[in-house]
Amino acid sequence: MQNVHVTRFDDWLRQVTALIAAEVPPDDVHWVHDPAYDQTLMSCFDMRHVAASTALPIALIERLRLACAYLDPERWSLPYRVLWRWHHGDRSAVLAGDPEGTKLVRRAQAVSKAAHLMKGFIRFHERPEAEGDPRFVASYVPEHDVLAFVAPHFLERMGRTTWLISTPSGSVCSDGTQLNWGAPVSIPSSGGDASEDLWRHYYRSTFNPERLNPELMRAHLPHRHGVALPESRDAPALISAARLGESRQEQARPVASSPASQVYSCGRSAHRVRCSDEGLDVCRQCELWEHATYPVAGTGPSDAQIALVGEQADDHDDLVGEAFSGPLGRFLDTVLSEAGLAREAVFLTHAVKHFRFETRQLQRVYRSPAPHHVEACKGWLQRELEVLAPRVVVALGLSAATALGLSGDALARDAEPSAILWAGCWIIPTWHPGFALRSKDPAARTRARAHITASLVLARQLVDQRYCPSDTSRSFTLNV
Amino acid sequence: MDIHQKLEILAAAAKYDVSCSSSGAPKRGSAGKAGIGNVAPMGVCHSYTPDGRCISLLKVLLTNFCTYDCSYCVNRRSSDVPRARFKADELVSLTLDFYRRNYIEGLFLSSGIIRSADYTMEQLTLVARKLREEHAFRGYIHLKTIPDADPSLITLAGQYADRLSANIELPTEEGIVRLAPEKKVQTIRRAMGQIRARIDEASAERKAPRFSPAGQSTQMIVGADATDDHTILKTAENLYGAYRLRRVYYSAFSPIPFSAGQLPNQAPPLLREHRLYQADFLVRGYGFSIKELLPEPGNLSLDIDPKLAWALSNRAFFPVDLNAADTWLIARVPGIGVLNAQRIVTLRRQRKIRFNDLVRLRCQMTKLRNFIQTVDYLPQHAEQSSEALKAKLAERQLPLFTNMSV
Repeated sequence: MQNVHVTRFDDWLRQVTALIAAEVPPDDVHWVHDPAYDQTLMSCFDMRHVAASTALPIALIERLRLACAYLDPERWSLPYRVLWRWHHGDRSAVLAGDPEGTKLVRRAQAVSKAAHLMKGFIRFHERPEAEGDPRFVASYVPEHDVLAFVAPHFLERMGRTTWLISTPSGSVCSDGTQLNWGAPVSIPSSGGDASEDLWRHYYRSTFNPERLNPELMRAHLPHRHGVALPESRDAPALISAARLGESRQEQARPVASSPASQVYSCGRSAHRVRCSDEGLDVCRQCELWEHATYPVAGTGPSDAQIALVGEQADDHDDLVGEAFSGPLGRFLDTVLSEAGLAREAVFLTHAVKHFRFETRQLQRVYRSPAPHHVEACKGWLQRELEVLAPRVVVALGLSAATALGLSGDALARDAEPSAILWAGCWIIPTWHPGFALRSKDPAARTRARAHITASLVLARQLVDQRYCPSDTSRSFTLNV
Repeated sequence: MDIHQKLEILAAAAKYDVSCSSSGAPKRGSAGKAGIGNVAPMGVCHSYTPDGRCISLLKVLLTNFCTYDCSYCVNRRSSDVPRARFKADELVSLTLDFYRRNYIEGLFLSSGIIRSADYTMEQLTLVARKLREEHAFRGYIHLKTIPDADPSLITLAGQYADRLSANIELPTEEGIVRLAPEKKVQTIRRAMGQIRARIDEASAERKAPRFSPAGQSTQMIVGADATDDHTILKTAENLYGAYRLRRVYYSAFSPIPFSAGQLPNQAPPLLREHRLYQADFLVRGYGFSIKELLPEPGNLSLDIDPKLAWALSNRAFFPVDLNAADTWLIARVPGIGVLNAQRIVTLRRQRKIRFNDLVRLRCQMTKLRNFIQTVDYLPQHAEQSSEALKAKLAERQLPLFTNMSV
């Protein structure tokens, strides 16, 4: 049996590396813990350096480091047994489920938890400013030796404010830029901090007696943590008052005894109109409104000669209330400019004003509108086009064509783009840009994109050349 | 009115907002810098009140004066409660004092609507701006958005806040029309839509100004009207999808002092709320869909949890062979969580899984024993009917919810 003295984790790690190299089995080692508060001993732990020098995976070092902070007679011996097995090829030794691995994992968890609780339950007291003394001080008894895990958190939290935390296994103070480690110090209990009094007021008021559930509180806040908190002195009175069934009055009394005033005002005057009581905003002709953010009306100059009709509002359109506003809109912009058109010069709208989707894995997935959605929305589209009276309407996709009254067989989207005279204006049916952007078949994407561009060029030429619908044949094809 | 009274009134008025999360914001700190505050990756709880809820943030209203008259709200204009209002500087120094003493992780600030929605939103943002700009506060700030406020004000608020939230309040439009006459579902949804669009923009570009980096959340009141769990969960699913919410909070309706006549005057349905959270968690963390958990209109069963209920009505999936099944399926076994499912898969790469491994992993053995098989274990009662199993596994006494009325 060999006695090995150890003070902290990287010291332990160095020694076990040597012990494993010397083939000293765990049963031949007796670990002796030496408390030490030496500044150099407690200084920062450099994970990357350690990983490089021991050739252990970082995740394993992290787990060992946590487990080695567990206060217990087996503090240093159990991790050595595990590491010994691991070195001899038994990789399950460090995993939960293995008898020793389970212990290791549970220790690591217990230490993380203790560190996490310490971050929450430490209470600082302010001290009068004195030269060289930390301004905020706290003492705390953690369940395990976690000060080294917790101190960096408070360095980040407190900025240049100076502070000191003392625990039974050592203390640490910050001068605002770096940590200084030392032996435990005794901190006189200070009473009568004005903020502490305010805090207890807050604690009492934020409690909802209707939801009284002290067991749940105790599950989260075991007694040993609770006693140290100033506000826990109020808990018994709050519980018994709530139990007496006077909860509502109890809660209301301190509040009701303070000076009250009643507001006289009118809700309507404070209400800003962000959605109107008429028009599309209240359209209920199909069920799509129910989960929508916005109905998406068409946009564009009132004298636009070309109108583009898409299928339906998409995810982004729904969020902002504008047609072709998202990624699809940006794609359409490029296609428009390739065809020599500017987005600002055309009118953009959809056949269906609301977004139809289904939710999969909490994501909205685009679904084409059903015929009854197109039918229900037709009136809105017709009204927009009547007011605008464009010379050319480009129908992007089948739903748009259907909404404009074209039957399916009028669509020869594989052929050259063609313009159909319908109800006094030219209609050019083409692909939906979504198909040109997202179809899985690259050849189909290219074809559809070319067709859309050509259709837009055709639209521009029809406008430029001022073909008058009344004196041309019913159908017209331009070679482009 | 002194600061103690103000704090009492405005904390009591804010306690019906249940969100108290301080996690999800990007890691940041103040080591060696002017100002104070950091964000810990996991969020930190600083205390627990006797209702079992944690205190992580200083949760107060800026004022409980309100021009709206929502009948479920203690602060509605027709309510006879004392009113108070914090000055921005009072709230700023209160937050900093509490923060330095390690009482809180930051501020959760909401408000009644005073003067106008825009004015209220400006005042809320002012507090956040003072904390951030004048005091270089890097702790957590959660701001409630006033849905009716101008979009540009919401945009500004998102630059200072870690999280923005707009409460949908009730799961149906009908409920809002009836109980919150001045609010409109569409307006609330539009505010959420705007927040999501801004968050998307900010995360698409690395150099874009920050906008609500811990996302947005919302809250729904449960039990103030007759809406069933199916509708509630459907609404939640829809909100998650549409606005990429981090969380939907369900708040069991607590009868409020001087309550309006049209609301139930009974203890809050805490167990129902608990079941809704469980279902919500299964959807977010386990890949369940609402349709699987609750295929038809109605409520989740109160006597068994939704995962067990799903397993009992889908016996064809079971018993699951822990030495062969996919991780997602193992995680669907009642009594085994996502984390343990991963641990099982990691361990079985080294060796076969045995029954005692599950005991050591602290899986819930009574629940899972009918649903799994390992190399040394086959369930004895595989042929037992779901009804019989349900009767056996029903939680006659939920340890933490014993005093809850249903």
